[in-house]
Amino acid sequence: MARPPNSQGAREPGSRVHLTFKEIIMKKIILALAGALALAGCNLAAVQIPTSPAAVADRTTLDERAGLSVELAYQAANLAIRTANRAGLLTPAAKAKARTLDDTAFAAVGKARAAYDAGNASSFKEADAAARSAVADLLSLVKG
Amino acid sequence: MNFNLDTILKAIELVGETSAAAKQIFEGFIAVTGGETQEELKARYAEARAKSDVDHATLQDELGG
Repeated sequence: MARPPNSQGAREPGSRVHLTFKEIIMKKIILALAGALALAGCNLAAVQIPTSPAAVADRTTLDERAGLSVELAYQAANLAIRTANRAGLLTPAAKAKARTLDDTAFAAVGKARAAYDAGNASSFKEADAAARSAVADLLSLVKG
Repeated sequence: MNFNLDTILKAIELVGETSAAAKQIFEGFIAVTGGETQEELKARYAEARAKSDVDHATLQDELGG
């Protein structure tokens, strides 16, 4: 992600990079959203096989929880990219890459939806993992 | 650090928009770990699907798609 020059003009080649106020704020926002995505991963891990009889009653909601987590993870990554773009932090090349990665991630989310709708546990698990991976790729555009 | 009023206002605007959207996502995560019934989760999942559709269209549009 390229950093725009500050209002004092273009940066000198080889000079130390000083972040503008806007860049610092945007980076904080993007990192917070990255944290939200990490939380999605934790929640997915938290909705695995129940370990007690009392928890078995919740087993029927596992697919809904996993499906919801995939949607929320996609939304978090989407929001991070949208925020970076609105802040003017994406170069034309980064925008083009973001468009492609967003399409890929959304298509993967669509496959998870289809597997959920079909009620196929094994294909859902596979599609769920693929969707989370594609969402992570999208988020990588604005991380670090 | 270099900043001016326009930059500050733009940052506040973006933070406001982002905070509202992030809060909605956060509340969704709370539901994932909460004690909602299957029907409630199904309804929330359906809402999330619709929102993801809108978010995807919005981002593609803003990126020049």
